Amino acid sequence: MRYTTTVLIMLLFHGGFIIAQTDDLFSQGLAKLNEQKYAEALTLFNQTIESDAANAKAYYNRGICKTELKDFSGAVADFSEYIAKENTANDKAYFSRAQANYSAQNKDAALNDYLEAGRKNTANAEAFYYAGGIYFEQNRYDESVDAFSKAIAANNDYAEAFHDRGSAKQKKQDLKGAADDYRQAAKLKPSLVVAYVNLSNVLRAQGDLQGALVELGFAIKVNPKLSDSYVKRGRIKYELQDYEGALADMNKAIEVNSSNYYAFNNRGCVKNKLRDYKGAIEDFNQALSLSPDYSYAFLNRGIANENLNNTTAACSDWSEASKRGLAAAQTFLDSDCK
Amino acid sequence: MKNIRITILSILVACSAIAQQNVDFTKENFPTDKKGLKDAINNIETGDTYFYNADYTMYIAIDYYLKANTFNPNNALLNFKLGICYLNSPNKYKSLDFLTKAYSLNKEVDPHINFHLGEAYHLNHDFDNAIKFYSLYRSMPEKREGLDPDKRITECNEGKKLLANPTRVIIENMGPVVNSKYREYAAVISADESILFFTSRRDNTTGKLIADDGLYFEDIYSTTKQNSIWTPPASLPSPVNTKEHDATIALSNDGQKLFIYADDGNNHGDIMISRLEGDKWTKPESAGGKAINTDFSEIHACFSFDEKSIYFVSNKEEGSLGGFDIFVTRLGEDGKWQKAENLGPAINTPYDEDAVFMHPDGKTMYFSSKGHKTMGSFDIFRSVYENGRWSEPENMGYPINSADRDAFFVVAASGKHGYYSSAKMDAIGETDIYRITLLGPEKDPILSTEEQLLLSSNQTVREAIKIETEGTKTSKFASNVTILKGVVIDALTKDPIAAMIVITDNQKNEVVATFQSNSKTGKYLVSLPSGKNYGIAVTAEGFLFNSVNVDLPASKSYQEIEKDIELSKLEVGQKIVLRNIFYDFNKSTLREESIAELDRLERLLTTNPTLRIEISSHTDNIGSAAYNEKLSLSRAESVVDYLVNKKKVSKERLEFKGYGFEQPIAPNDSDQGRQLNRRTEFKILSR
Repeated sequence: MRYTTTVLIMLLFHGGFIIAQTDDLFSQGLAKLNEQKYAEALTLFNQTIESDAANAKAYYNRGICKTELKDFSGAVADFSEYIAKENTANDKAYFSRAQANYSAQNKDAALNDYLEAGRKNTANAEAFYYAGGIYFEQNRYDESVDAFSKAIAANNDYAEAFHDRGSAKQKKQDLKGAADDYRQAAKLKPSLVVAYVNLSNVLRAQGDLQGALVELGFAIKVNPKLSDSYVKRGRIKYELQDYEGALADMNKAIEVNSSNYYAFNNRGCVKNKLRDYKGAIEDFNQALSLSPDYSYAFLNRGIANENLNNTTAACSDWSEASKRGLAAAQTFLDSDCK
Repeated sequence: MKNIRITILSILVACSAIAQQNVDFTKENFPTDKKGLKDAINNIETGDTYFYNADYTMYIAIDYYLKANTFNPNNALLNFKLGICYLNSPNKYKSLDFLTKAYSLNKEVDPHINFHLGEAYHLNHDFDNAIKFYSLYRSMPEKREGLDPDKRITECNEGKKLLANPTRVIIENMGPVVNSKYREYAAVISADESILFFTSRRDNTTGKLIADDGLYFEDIYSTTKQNSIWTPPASLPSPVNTKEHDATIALSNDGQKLFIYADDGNNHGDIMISRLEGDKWTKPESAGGKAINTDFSEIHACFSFDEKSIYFVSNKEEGSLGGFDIFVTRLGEDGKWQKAENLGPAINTPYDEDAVFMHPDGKTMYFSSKGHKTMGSFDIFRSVYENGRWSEPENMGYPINSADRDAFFVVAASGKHGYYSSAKMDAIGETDIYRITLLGPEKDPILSTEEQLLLSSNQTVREAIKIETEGTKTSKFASNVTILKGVVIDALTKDPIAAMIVITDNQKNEVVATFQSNSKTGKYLVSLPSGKNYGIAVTAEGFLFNSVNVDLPASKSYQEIEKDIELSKLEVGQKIVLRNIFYDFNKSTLREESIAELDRLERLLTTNPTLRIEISSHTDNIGSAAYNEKLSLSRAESVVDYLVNKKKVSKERLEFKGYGFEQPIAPNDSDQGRQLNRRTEFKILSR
């Protein structure tokens, strides 16, 4: 999924930067590239380079072909060749190599290239945006916020940058700053469902459960097919002791996505509160069939089993949860299974 | 559900009252069925002999009255009497149908019907209607002594609160193996839940006689748990069970001492005790002598975990705070039970207290009271003795407690299960024994969701994060007791031994408790509250003593340790490890905690004056051989010095050696193994 998304982005991007040349082989290669016939384009660029090893643009365009054909290392090598040969290489060459490096899992190299692209062109909002993302992945949240801020400075309407800066602020426990950024992201791009969802998380963390419910309502309105929004809203209703409401949301989450094991686990929790212990166990079983190592489902099934006076089964479940690192399970084992 | 039933019933009664009127048992009302009328009147007259005799015989009247009521269900007085009979039976909740019917037929059938109707609603947990009728009774000019509507209203209000916040328990009928169609009650258990005694009025009672109340005399029965299944109960043979009433009160933690209630013939109860010697129960004798039994009624008792105190219930006037109170007598250093003390106003009230039970943790008391915040009659309460005082008694809550009498509640050492008797709708007999699983506070399950924090299309970060704080609430019933049990046997023949088990608090160098293993089975069981380092010495005549060390930090939760203890005969060459001898780290200085063990060794030498022994000390393999040899020699010498200089044992009878790590008894590759190897032991050189 991650790769597919990456490829789409690169296609869009490179579409505008294919470097043209009058040479026949080179021109034919460009034509095939525009037709998205990458293998054929690659052959033509190979032939171009064989006949003219100094053709920097042929390397660049072959790099694009290799990227599309998932030969990321080859692509990086070609972009590097272009940068070495082309003294005037601009931010876009570094940006392309950054994308290929990222896809080749060379995250540090990708970060350097994004930053170099940004240095060469401070208006390249995407370069800063993706640099911010790598910083985030590396848990370098201060630098991440800084990079996203540069992306926003380059493009003040950059909803995704606002959103991701909000996420970095959230990680820094700057909940107010995070909420402001999520709000701005949603304002700039009302269809950005995840902005409402993450805003609801921040509001919940601030204790504003009603506010969180409102945001999740927006998320569901924008995209009623997103299972996680129902799961989150159901969880807040559970916390507000509106168990029937929570049950309805968990049901909807499962209806929208029957593979959502969080939804099954959480519905089990709700049923446990409603004293439907057998129903709860069925849901925990379902969560475990979807995610066999899901420790919370083991722990919770143990609780439901205890409520049914199935002490042996409860202790077995808590033992499994404890093996998977849940401290609460060990506490229950100590207090109730001896 | 019950409330709905009652409400519907009330509506039906109210509606039918319009059409119903009182029908007397007269020829005019039944002109065509003279025989039926005659039989009904005869049944009423027979029932009346029991009804007007005593409260406890009213129960017998029910069958007769019901027959008459089948013939004529619309007589107010008969319905009233049936209601009163049920109020004096185990199935008190059945009174409501008859009293509401009586009320609908004639509101003035009895001057106290408002109170009794209040009682009937109260017992059915319809507290609003109960308050309504108690209030009506309160407003009446004449009230019968002993009927206290104000207290009952207070109880109803408490009941409303308790029903709104029920205690999390699972109540299970012990089933047809234990319970019969007759009454079972007063269940008592050993600390490890392996033995259960109870009282029953079943038809195989000793002598098969029927008491004044129309039921078989009480007898005591016992059952043991084998592979998690209770065996069919057996009646305790003579001299425990007699042709009279014999009823259980309490059982010691090891299941070898049984408190029994006995009537002294003048309606004054006494507490008796029977002991299991081998496989026979001794003839019950007065427990605690005059320290407990008086000319008043003593109706309940139990041991403290160390059997150094007996808590008992008496209505004696001296020191009383009103009604039956809980007292305690302690075992003096002279081996006699000391003058009893009232537990004071934290526990006792002007009303009755009963059925005291001390948990094996040594500090938690369960008892019944009519005086604390009860929802009706006796409720079961829990109080903890900490920092020199009893905590405010806490109602165990609904459904453990009900508006009816709730008593005889005992809790296993684990704190997980309680046992009591009750007259529930699902009962096999009139009253059955139930096991209650105390679940403690509700465990919160953990909800979780997927978190998607980053949008950056090629850098989507997804992680499941923990949302809830993990539910780690522990039960207030959680126990921090260790049950140590097993058998004491001859090391050579494996025959069981009747041994004395002395438990010492090593820090205080105080004997905590003394128990004896069973002579027939060698079985022993001791309960050890956490928070101490215990030395456990097992002694028997003709045998070398054996010692065990059990370290139980305060945080240690409930556990059962099975440990068979072997005793070796006093023979040349026999070795015994002295587990309760402690030295300062890397030194030979004996610590205070060693005194009790050294004194035991001195007693062994005193009672066997020709005995010569070698004291040896051993180390683990940390450090050089030379260092360890020197250290061990110095430590063995310290023991000998103590015995010679402090206890005046002849130096000629003692040798000492330091073996360093030459003679390990366990591999030195783990902490546990090294700990076993660090030891002091003695060997018999000659007798």
